[in-house]
Amino acid sequence: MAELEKAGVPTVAYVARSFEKDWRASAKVFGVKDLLSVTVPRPFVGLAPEDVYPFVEQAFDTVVKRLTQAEAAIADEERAQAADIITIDGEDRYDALERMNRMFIEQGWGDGFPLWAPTRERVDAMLKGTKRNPSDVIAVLAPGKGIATVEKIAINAVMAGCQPPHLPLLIAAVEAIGDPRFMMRNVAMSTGAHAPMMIVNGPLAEKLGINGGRCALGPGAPSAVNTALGRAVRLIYMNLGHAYPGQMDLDTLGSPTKYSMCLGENMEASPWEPFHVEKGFAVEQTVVTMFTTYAISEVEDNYATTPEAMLSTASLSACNPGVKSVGYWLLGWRGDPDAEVMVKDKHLLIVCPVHAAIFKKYNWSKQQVREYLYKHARMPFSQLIAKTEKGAFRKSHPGLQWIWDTPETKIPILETVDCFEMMVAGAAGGRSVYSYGAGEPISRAVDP
Amino acid sequence: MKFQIMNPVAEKVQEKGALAPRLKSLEGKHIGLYWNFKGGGDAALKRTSELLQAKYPGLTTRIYTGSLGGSNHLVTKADAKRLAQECAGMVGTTAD
Repeated sequence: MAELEKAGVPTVAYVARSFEKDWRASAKVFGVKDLLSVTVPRPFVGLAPEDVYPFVEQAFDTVVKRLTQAEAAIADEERAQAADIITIDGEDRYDALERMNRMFIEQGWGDGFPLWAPTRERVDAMLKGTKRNPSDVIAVLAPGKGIATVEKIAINAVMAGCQPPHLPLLIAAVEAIGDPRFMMRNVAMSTGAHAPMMIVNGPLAEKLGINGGRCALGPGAPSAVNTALGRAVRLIYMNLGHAYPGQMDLDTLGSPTKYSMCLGENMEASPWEPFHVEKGFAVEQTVVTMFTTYAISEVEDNYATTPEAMLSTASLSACNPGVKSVGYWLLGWRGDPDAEVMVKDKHLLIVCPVHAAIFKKYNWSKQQVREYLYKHARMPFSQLIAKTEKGAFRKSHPGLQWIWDTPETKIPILETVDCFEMMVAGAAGGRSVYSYGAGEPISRAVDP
Repeated sequence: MKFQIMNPVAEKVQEKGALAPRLKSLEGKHIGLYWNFKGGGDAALKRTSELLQAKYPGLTTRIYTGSLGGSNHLVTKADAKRLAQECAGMVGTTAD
């Protein structure tokens, strides 16, 4: 709507009451802070047409008014930005730390867990972890168009409990999520529980103690570094991307995966080249890959002894129509209208060592695994289209409309073979993990 | 005791734009109805169209969607230019 106003077209949009803050925040970000709306009591989703009509009838006079009458500019409700340096006063250091944490929660700057204090001394120490200048801009992050400088990344890294050697990895993570192909605006603003997964490959992963083995996805001591890094990413989403819950992040229920998700790869157990090498990086490079996930599912199979048996379980696990990206390709591709790029949805199979050993025994390549999943992770079209936007399917795939006549035709849950990604992680136990991705993984080399 | 901490929040890139002038009247105008493909939005715009056409002689409407995206089809700058040439005004269902 903002683009239309800038092009000279008066607009008005229906906005559900619970999305008003998001609307106001988005209007400012997209450059037309006084964008006009008419509030309806609830979203239209989930309502039959006859239940939508009364909302429209009640709002109609306001719709006409918004199109035809100039209105006074809307008062800016945003709180004034706090100072660059904030003084916290306490009876002692511990009391001051508690007060800082309460203040950060009130401001919305924390994730709900206790934070480390980003004092000048701690941030300066963190900045010694990189050769970059503190004022270097790494990216402008959606959804809020926040200017992510090295210093701001360092501040949030301190808050998360990271150490100076971790900073280059976080800088690479920000480069990745700042790439338009990551679709940050789409995944950070959604009503879905999109969570950023940070995958670290290369020599620094081992040197820094990033766990790719048992409990790689947490919790506890084995993954303490993983936890701090993933947590820093969440704080970066909020404080640099301005994806604050309830303001621009309108996630319906939330998810524990959004607090922190970071892991390394278990190369000792892998029969394949590392994830980052497959992406075109040299084995001696340390690489951070950011990959959004809707949800992760266990793929438990302690009986499979052949690749086909294991992947049969994985294929069935993949076929979850309750996850948005299963069959999403029917509606089109995720798009960024500013950069005008589109990406396919990809999923990630995190293969545990027991299952990796089966692929090794039978000498299966990643491509063979992909092809199996593509061929077998299929669902009837009728099931995939039932709960989604049929109009988008009609627009995006005019050549596939024949399928309405044979709705039980099984189609792949992802568009092409290469949409199935894989890596090896975990420890002894027949439990792999299937990650239902959103968009595609974006990788960046770490500049230590 | 006092300690000083650094503000973790990034400044934003500021874009400043104004609203387009409003229409003097809706009679005879072509009003676009922007649907982002979210469920129920088409029903809301259909009823909006009915009410507009009943009240304003000569008013025409048409549903438009963006050219880019999956479950949400988004409007690019090129779409906006094209829509601006066709539509005098736009009613949309955007967020939820």
